[in-house]
Amino acid sequence: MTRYLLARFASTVPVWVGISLLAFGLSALTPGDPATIILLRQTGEPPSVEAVRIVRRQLRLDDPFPARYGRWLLRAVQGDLGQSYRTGEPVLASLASRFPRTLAIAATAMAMALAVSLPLGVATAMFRGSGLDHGVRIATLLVASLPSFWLGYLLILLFAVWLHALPVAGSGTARHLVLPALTLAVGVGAGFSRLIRAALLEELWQGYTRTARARGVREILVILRHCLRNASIGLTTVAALRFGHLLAGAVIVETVFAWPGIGSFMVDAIYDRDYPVIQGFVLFTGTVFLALSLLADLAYSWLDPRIRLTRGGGDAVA
Amino acid sequence: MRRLAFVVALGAAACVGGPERGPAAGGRELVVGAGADATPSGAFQARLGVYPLNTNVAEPLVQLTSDFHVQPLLATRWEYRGANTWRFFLRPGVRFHDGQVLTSRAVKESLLQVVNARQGYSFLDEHSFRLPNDTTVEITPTEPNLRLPEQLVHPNYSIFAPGTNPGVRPVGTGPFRFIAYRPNDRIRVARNDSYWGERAILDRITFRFFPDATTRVLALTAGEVDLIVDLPREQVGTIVRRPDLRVARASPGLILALQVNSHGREPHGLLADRRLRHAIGLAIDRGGLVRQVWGGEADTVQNMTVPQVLGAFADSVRGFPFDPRAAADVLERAGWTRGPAGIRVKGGRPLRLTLLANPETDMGTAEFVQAELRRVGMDVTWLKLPDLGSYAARLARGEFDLNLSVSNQNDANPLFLPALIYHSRSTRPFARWHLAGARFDQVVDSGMRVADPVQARHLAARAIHLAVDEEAVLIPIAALYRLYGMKRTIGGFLPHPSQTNQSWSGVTVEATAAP
Repeated sequence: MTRYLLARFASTVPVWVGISLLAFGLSALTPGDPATIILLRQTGEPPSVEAVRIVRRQLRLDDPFPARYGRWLLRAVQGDLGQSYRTGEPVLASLASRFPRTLAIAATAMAMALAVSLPLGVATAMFRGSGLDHGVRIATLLVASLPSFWLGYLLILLFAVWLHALPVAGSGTARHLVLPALTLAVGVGAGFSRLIRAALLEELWQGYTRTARARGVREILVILRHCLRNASIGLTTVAALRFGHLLAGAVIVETVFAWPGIGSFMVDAIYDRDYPVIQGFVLFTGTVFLALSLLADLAYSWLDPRIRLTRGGGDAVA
Repeated sequence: MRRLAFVVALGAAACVGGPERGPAAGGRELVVGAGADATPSGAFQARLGVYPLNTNVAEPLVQLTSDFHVQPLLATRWEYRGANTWRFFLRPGVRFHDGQVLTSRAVKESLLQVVNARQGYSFLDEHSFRLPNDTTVEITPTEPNLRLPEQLVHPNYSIFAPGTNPGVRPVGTGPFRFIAYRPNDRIRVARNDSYWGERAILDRITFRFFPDATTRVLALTAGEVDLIVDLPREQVGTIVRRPDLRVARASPGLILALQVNSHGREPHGLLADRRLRHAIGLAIDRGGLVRQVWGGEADTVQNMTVPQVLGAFADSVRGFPFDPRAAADVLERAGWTRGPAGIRVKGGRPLRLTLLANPETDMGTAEFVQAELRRVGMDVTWLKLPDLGSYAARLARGEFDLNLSVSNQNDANPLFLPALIYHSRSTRPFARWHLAGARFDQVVDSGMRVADPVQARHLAARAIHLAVDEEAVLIPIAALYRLYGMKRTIGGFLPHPSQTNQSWSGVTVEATAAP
């Protein structure tokens, strides 16, 4: 297990370096001069050529790409992602201070999605072909197709404007968390319920389920005790990746709900060509993705003891 | 299931800060829905609660009236002493919120902060200030700039208590005092009961930040805020249909105009021909634009800046009447004849132009201009740039023919925009693409050297006449209203055409029965 872990961790290193190269390279290739934008934002007026030149020199923007990348990567591995051009704050500290808020939305959305999609998935699998099954499938297809910003407005209208049950936007209390999390959860939950249904249907006709039924185990227990556990292996992978998407992709929802997480921070950084923040964000979320992917792999052996993790990186089924 | 509950609780706990604050018992609180919080960005950090969102915690020496005149504030009067020097006499008995007395030293310290932050455009440096005594300040810009009093109305030039940090806790002299700030969430201020002038009516104001305009409107309709700034014009109908809400309009302080690349390099050299520039001016139906695109929430305008800034001289700028036939005649005379698909051609070259638009500008206007110019035979490609960065880069490189821009008039200086954008000594990187010529430069320079504001207005109007009517390096389009949505219980709100100079002192909130 330890050997596997080390090998698996080692395999993430080149991927991580690749992410860092993309993060640094893509932001450097985008048009627009950060020095100009910084000065424009500071004064509200177009800056002079001389002022732009001074800021470019201060930020060492005229150095060759390899020199800038090398300097940045060396600092990044030491936990220093540089300083924001706009705010002057260390990027890692800025991301770290905002990350708990985004994590709160993502975790709550994931919990909401699982809480609804699990019973829905089980019910539609148990009653395959019924009116419930068709209804849920159509409904999940519809809600999964809704753009998140539009869904966010609809939820605000319903819960804040008409029912006065929740705040429109902002942060500060647990009540503020509900609508943005729900907005994200709807799409994720719809996908999960269809995934769970499909996985359960596959398991329902396996030999072990027939055996369980032959022994007189009730259908609901067959599903919950036997099928669901096996079906959850695929779900784990998808959930881990979806959770990564929620962390990195809450941008629009954070803007609509005035939620000060890393998503809205990233949007501001893109508009202002705040390279250190953009690069730091991509590297940070890329690292989170890699960690989640690693955790999902490790979860397989816990969910299905037949899976043994080997040093070769493959899975051996005993 | 217990694990699930734990995750939910963890998520909730992670973002719990404090309870939502509503109006406190026994007092009147106004909750304002503002746009995005600019304070965390760059030099705005040192302008917390002052600029661009003005919470009235600090005041400059002089004040901008809603008709763009200068009136006393922390300075009771000012006089020109000759040799490019202005003397300001401070109001006696004014105290900062921390009890310190307003002195000339505080003025110097605050203005030096502006200089050190490289803000402002008044040509000030550390040697510009002389303090004859505690209540008098003399200011001498580094270059001829007799427009200084008109520039000092900008909230960037607010005065703070010595030894305090305006970026953390602004301590000014304003009718409200700073209470708390949570980045990207809200600023709270409370009435300054020791204010030197007429006390504010409200007890407290909370400014909440909503980057998304639709969310801001929803917050108003939900009753979560009392007033919102920058109401999108598409949402005006939503507000006026509600019996409990209303819309307020500030007279125009924003000018929408086409800046022309009259000094461009190929392939952007076509508009070096003045006749083409005039044809563009004649081809745009400003009235149609205001009706169709802006839903009547704008005025047609033929000026570089808001007409009030030029006073009685504003009419000396004629602008361009809407006359597509005359535009077509001008083009014909310039040798541009109708070619295939209606696009004009000269010497085998089609009349193709590139239009840029500030990404923070309304996009409907760009489409309208494109369609209007197409009608007279100009094929205009609108480059939709995603953000300010790529837009600024293209502008600086001169890779455009027309630029749809929005200009703000936040001070009383009538020469602000002419000097900034069209003067040959402008230090702005894109100014070289639309210089208005030597005569224009001379008039602007003269305007910077006269002490009399009326004479300055006269010279500014002459300069703008040269830039618009003769050189056509700027084609004015419309003057935009700033829109506010608010509850009908809000009274005394007088929207200022320069939003950064908005006063909140006279605003009232009527008590309403609980729903």
